[in-house]
Amino acid sequence: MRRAIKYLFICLCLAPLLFGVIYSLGYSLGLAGLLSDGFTWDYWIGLINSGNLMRSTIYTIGLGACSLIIAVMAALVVSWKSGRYGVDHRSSISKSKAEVLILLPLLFAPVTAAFCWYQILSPGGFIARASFHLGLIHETSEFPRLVNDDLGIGIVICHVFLILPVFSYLFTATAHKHRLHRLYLQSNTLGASSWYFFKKVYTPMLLQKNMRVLWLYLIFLLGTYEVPLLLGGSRSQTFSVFIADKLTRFNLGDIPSGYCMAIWYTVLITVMTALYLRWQKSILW
Amino acid sequence: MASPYIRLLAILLLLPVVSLSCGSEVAQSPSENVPADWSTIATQAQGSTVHMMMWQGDRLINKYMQDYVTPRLSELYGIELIVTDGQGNQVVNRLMAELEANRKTSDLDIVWINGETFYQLRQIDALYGPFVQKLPHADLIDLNNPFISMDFQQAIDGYECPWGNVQMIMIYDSLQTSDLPQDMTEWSRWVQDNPGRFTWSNDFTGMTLLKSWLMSLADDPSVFYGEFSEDLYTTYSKQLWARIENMRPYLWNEGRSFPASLAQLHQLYVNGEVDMTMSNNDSEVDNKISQGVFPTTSRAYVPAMGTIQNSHYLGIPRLSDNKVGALQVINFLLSPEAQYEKSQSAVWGDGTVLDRDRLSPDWQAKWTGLAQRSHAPPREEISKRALQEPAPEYMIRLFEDFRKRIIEQ
Repeated sequence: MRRAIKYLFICLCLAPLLFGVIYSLGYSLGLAGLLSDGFTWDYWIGLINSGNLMRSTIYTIGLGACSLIIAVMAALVVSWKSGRYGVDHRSSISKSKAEVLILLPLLFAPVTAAFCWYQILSPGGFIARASFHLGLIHETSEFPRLVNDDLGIGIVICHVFLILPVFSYLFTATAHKHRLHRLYLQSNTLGASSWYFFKKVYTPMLLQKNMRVLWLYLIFLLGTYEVPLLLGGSRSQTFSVFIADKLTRFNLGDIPSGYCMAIWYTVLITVMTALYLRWQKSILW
Repeated sequence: MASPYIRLLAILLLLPVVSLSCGSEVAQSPSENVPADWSTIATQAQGSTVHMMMWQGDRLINKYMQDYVTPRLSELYGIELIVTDGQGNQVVNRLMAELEANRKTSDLDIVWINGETFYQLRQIDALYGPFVQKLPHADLIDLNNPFISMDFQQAIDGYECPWGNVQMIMIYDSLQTSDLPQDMTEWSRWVQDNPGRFTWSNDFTGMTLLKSWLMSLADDPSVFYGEFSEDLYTTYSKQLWARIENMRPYLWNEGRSFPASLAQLHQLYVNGEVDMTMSNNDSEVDNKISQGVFPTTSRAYVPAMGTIQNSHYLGIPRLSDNKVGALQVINFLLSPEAQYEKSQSAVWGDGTVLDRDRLSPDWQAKWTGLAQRSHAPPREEISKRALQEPAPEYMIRLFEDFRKRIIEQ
């Protein structure tokens, strides 16, 4: 039975993945495709010289890291508050209305969330219009650019909106599972302040227990498509937007560049994952 | 001895190697024994199923296909038409994948294409043809009209059949905007007078505007007709980028970003962030007003410098295994009945490719009485300012240089 499952895993998961990687590599080196003229490094050299490889790498990792850090920090606060540390002595997970509300964003598909945030944050959006009617700005165009901007502020906001509920629930459940409330009461009895407990025990413990999930979410964020497509600027493109752009534009000669980026993305994720596993192993030992 | 898992993986990994080795070979077409005479084609097409891939992003177009074309084909020929969503690059990717996989037959029998898609499909030899002359209704088309017989300066050579004809228009709100720019010089001035109120999309439509500007910079836009000329492109694109660079601080978002798609530009227009939007479909303003998307005070115009007019076409994939069915469907779509229905503003508002002089007196009279659209100038009027699509390489170069010289600077 176990052997059958392994075969199935190889056939259904591993082989198609490797097939795709090898095919992409072949395409990026001019070995595949109807218009290929044989082996060449030209597409790789062109991609590197254009600066797009470096730009997309920095932009994508930067956006992913910012979104993750902000979401984690906010989720720690939400879980701390919902656990009612320092408020009363209830150790159960709070079932308050606020907790239900914070899970609502899980109902949004990324593309819907991106559209909503566009409507909220754009200079013609709800906040800009409200600011105009309140006399805070003289024209809606004076509203600061939060979507389609170079820094990707709208993308980060939308990502945080989408992943905050997951982390909040995860941290709350982890804290509950590891009985952190009891630990909090003990440390409190011994004279530690709430802030000290939050900083020295609560945060490190939750991060350590959920490091693998956080890592997976970072990888998920590096690969998102709809949100950067709708809310991103034109100057820098994330990996996914760049790849889709090259694979679907009018120049068939651009397709290999898209595959080059896809291969680079795969290598980057693989190296990052290997480093992460090595780091985890070193912690365990 | 290697473990059985590794052996299995190795065998599976050989598949892409085999695939790569035959990826460049051209797949063989299914039997191309399409009968020469139309009556045999019609008989063989009777009762068949035809798969068509087309853009389904417009409610009116979808309604035309679902509520008119599909039932009429079933009623007249017993043909079941199955329409799936996909446009331009999706069509190319789909057919290219089929060819690369050495498939014997295609999943598609008809594709809705134009310009750059036709250029790409011809590059990879994915289209069946020539077939247009086989169609009885092809006699009603004026194939000497360059706006019909040339697609991005590439002769259609019977490999795609004209279906409709459109021209690029600029859309504005008549309550907000009155002083409309007519050429690139006026545009630069207009943008400076109205800072932050104009932009274009970084897609096909936006590049069509840039093409119109590029051509208008030459004293005679017809120098762009014919094959791609590097010298011509270099000379006029330098002027174009210089003018756009000057215009840039006054563009929407100070020219730091551009809407990724026309839908986003429409959204900016509807939100009141910009004063103008645009479309490659000259009936778009009437369509969008009737759908309640644009304000009713929206109007369309074609600047004096001219805009690009082009036709859209229907092609048959080379690997289609129901070419006779596809021919029958395309012939019906070319019929005066189907073209007339499509021309009505309330239905689709698409320009016809039929030469009215070749129609029967009854149909001519019917067409003369066709209600005109109310928010865009008449087609006959804007046609006087029509420019032909230049060769596809201009579009490819504009895309590349727009990114390098404007977006990334």
